[in-house]
Amino acid sequence: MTTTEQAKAPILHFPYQSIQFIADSNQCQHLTDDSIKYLTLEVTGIVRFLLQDALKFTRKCRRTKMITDDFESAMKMRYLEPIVGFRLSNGNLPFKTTTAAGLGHREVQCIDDHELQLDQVITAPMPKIPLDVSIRTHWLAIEGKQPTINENPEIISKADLTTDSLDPMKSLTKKRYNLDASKIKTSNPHELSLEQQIYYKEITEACVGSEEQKRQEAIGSLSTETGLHQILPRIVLFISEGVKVNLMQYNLAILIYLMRMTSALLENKSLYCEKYLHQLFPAIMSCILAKQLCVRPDADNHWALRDYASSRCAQMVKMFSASIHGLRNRIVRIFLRTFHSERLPLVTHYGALVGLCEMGQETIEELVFPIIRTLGDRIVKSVENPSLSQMDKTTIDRINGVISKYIPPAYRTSRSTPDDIEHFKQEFGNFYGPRLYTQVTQQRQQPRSTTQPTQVSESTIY
Amino acid sequence: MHFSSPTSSSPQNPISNPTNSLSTNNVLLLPSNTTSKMSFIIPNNNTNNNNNNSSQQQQQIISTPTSGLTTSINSNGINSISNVSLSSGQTTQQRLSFPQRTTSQSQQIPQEEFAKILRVLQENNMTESVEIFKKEYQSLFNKTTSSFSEPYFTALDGYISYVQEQPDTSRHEFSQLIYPLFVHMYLDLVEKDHAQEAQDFFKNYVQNTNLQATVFAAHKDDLFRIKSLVTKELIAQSEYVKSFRHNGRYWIKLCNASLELLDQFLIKQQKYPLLTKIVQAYFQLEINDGSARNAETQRLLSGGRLGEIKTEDNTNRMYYGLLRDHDLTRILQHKAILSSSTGADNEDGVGDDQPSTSKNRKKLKKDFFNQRQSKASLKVDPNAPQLTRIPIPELREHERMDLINTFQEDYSRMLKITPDNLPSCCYYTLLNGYLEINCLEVSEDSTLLAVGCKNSSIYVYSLNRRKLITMKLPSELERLDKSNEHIYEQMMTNDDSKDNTNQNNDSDILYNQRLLCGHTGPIYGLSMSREKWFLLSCSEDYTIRLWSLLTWSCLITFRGHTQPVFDVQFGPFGHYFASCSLDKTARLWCIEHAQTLRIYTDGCNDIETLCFHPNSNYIATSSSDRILKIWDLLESKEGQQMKPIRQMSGHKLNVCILKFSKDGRYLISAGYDRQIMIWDCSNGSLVTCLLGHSDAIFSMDLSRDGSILCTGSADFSIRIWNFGQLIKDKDDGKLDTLQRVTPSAKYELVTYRTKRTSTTLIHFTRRNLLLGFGVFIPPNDSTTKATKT
Repeated sequence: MTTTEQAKAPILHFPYQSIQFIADSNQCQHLTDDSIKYLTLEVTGIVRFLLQDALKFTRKCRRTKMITDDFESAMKMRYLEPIVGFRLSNGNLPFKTTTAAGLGHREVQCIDDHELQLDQVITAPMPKIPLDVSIRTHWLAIEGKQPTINENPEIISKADLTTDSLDPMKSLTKKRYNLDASKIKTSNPHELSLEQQIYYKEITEACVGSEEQKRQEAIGSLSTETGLHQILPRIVLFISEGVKVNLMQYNLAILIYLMRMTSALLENKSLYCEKYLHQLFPAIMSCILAKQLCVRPDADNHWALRDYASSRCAQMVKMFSASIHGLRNRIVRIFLRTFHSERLPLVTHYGALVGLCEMGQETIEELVFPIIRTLGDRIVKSVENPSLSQMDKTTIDRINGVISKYIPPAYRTSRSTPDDIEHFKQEFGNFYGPRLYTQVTQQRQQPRSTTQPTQVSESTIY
Repeated sequence: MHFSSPTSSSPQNPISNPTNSLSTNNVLLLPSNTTSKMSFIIPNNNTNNNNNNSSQQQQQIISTPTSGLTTSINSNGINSISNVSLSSGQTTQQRLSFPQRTTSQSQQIPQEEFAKILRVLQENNMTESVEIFKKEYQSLFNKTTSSFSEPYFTALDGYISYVQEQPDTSRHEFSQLIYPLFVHMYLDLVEKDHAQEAQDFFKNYVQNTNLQATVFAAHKDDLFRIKSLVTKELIAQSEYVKSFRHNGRYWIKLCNASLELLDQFLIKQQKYPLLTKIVQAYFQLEINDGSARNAETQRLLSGGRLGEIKTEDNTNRMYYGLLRDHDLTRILQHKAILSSSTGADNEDGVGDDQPSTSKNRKKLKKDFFNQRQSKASLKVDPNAPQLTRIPIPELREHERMDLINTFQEDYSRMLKITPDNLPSCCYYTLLNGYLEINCLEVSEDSTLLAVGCKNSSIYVYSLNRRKLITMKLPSELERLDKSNEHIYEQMMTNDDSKDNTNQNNDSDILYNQRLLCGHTGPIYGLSMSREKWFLLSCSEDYTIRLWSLLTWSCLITFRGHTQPVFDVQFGPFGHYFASCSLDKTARLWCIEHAQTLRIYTDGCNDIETLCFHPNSNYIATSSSDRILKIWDLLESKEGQQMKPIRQMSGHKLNVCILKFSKDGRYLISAGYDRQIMIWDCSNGSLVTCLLGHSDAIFSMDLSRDGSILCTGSADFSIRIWNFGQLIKDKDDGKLDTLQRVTPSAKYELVTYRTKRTSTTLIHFTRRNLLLGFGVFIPPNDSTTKATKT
């Protein structure tokens, strides 16, 4: 057996050097290469036998992972002295390899036993006390159904739910296959238990009620509770209907509360809102694009609602565009269509602009950059209009704010220096070109980190 | 047999000896050829007499199956005889033809040719050509002779391609031989000190994806073992080789047609003498009745270390019926019948339950005693063993009354589980116990939980709010009035004061716990007696201990096993218990003696789990060769070794849990290979195999009425199966016996998922409430768990 053959298809074994070294340290200096090779195979084989024995103990203890104690048991079984005191820490061997000069530069291993500073040990915070075995009981299932409590896992897997939301027919046929025809249960559409009914009532009341403290709790509950699957459709219905009604009545506060509820539902990791997007998106879009959201549009801060809703909208697009094909395109198309229809008021254009800008860098580059020119023209036209209302004036200010907030950073990351004012005028029109030019040049001088576009801070809405 | 000269063992060359191969090769197995010339396969005429004799012998034996006397050929006889003849033929042939053979055939011809050509070249003074030719020849020659493994490769490749040629319907029958052939060839190569070639051989076939999926799939565990056998000495030490080579022959079941074809290929054609040798030395072929089994059935039944089970091993009678005459069985059975009838009465709802049960209870009491009187009128179950077959202690009078009362109460309220009325499940999660807790056991009445730990201690918890009772000290016991009616209650201490203080702590469901210390190694098995008086524990320290759950002390230490004891279980009537161990024995004990009553040895395989039959006449064990065995408690005749009464192979990895069905007829087994296999004890055949779990199955229980099977797995789920329906379908013949594998959908009722807890114990209470027990696995292990082999 030559070494080249060895390399071709090596038998997995310990390195020869270590066996040789062990032999040396046991006063067997003059072993031939063949004997070392033989010894190596033998040792490897014995270790493998031990591992096979250790596997018996692992399996007996109903584990899927072997631990060092199993190996110890296996050694005991073969009347070998178990190795005591070595534990794998983080899966690494607790040895350190160094070379000793005195031993002809042989590798020497020692236990990695690092020194501790005494005062550090003394001043260190006390470690957690190891806990004794304790038993906890819960209902895993009640009459065939698993209650949605924190002790139970999420019953429906995400994959199942996604397929379910995308192709309801598929899961339906699958279920048919599972059940014998005679065994199909009588349909029992989402009957809520009394507790759930009370919960629903309490939550909805608290969310749109007058007490901020209670609202905070309710919103918190909505965003963390795991057992909301059953009442999710009702809450979604509550939101969408609520938006419809309150839009008509220009009830800004309620709309804001409803948007916060939506946000809480999105935050809840155990809920999957894919099924209800057809209800949630119209509600959110209405809050972004509505002509009027409050009784006194010139005084009330309906801008905050528009901003908040658009950031929620962007968040939802980000969350679900992976599973739902073309979602992003559809939303963007709505915004653009709104933007291009001249007869709509400027506030709606503002909403569309914010909605687009919230979508992120890519959307801004591809879609917002080209429309700034028309926007500028439109603003110039309306400013020249003598019958410019106070409302439109603030809207124009707001639009300018949004432009200067989102466009310069996006421009800065997408285009490289040098900036040319003519180029700006050409791209963004005469109204916004020079403005943006100054803003961009200003920003380029500042360090990058401070100029990152900030999200609409949620504190404005609370 | 030795394989040292593969070339010499193939003196028969069909090409060089065409006449011989045509006329003389069809010796084996076809009785119609009795008249044909029967010289055996060795070309040398000197050995003709010898051959004639041997082939005649073969002829006689072989003719038996066709005469219709037996269904299975005792091919052992054939093989051994043909072996003898073959080897004797060889020896003579070797002796006689020695001078020819050294230069014979494949080696000799090129050499002669070589010499000739060389001579011609030299004569013509072409020195350069001579050199080149020499080199060329050398390289060619070396290649063919130095590679020892060449015949192994060609033989196995030849056989595999032969299998591929077979029609689809019977290909799987032939492919059964591939795995054992492969293993024997590999071991041969290693034993002949060709470690490197052996490794190449191993890799070549194991990494073949086609083979991996079909032939090797059932033997993954053993392949891992084989892989580590790289030297002769390791093979000599290996337990696996012991049990594979020396524990019997590899048993293969074939249909008649396939067997004939195979014979044609192996014996008559003799293309690969190596194959013939291995088959003759280590294999046993059994004729299966009728046509070929379908591939699926065969795949299910494969997986045993030594192939399948001899049909004749499972022919002895097994009395799987219940002991109807015993009081305990009658109490259990009677109530079970009653509960089903009340269940039918009370279909309206829970509200009606109370009055009807009390009415029923009266009726029941009357019934019960009536039945006792008319014992003789009971129908005798032909499959039930005699009550006296295995002596079983009778119930004591007070015990019987207790039982009747409690069971009445509980069974009358027992839920009937149907597909529309699924069981509720209360789950006990043991926190902070991962890697520390080895085993769990719950008492029959679901009030006590025993936990066996790695650190050799045993904890006993009370699951209801009642305090764990303790017997009074002997001095206090003496003072008691023995004629008192409530003597048993008075024997126990009752600390009412403590009860009151603890009652405030309502959230603590563990009202009380006890620690039992005594073992000196990890605990691997626990078993509680039915009346909650005793607890058995077995440990790595080779001992089994009997603990009293009244005095909370160790009563006896049973010594006898010589290796870690892996499982222990009380018999259904108490008194007896069985244990099994890594010392390759299962033992039967009785709590009144410290000595072993029976020792069941299993050759070379560790016995890992066991289970008592409900009639206490049999125990089932599973061993590391993945074969389930059922042993009789009745002593065998003098001098005979204990042989299992039933053997069943089909699991592909270790079995974790065994259970008999409530009527004792079926054995259910499950384990690391994720299959739940249901076996019919009456003949050891496979009823069906339930698939559905995606990881090892650790726990299993049947509902009290025996209709629902529940399994807990490492995939963090509990699945509930309609066992009653399955058996009913089987009896009606509706079960798809051709398919055998039942997809989970057909009989699975529901899946309950747990959160990172693999259920290690599942238990139905008397009222058919499902209890699950499991140790919570901390989440950071999830990554390592995913990468397990």
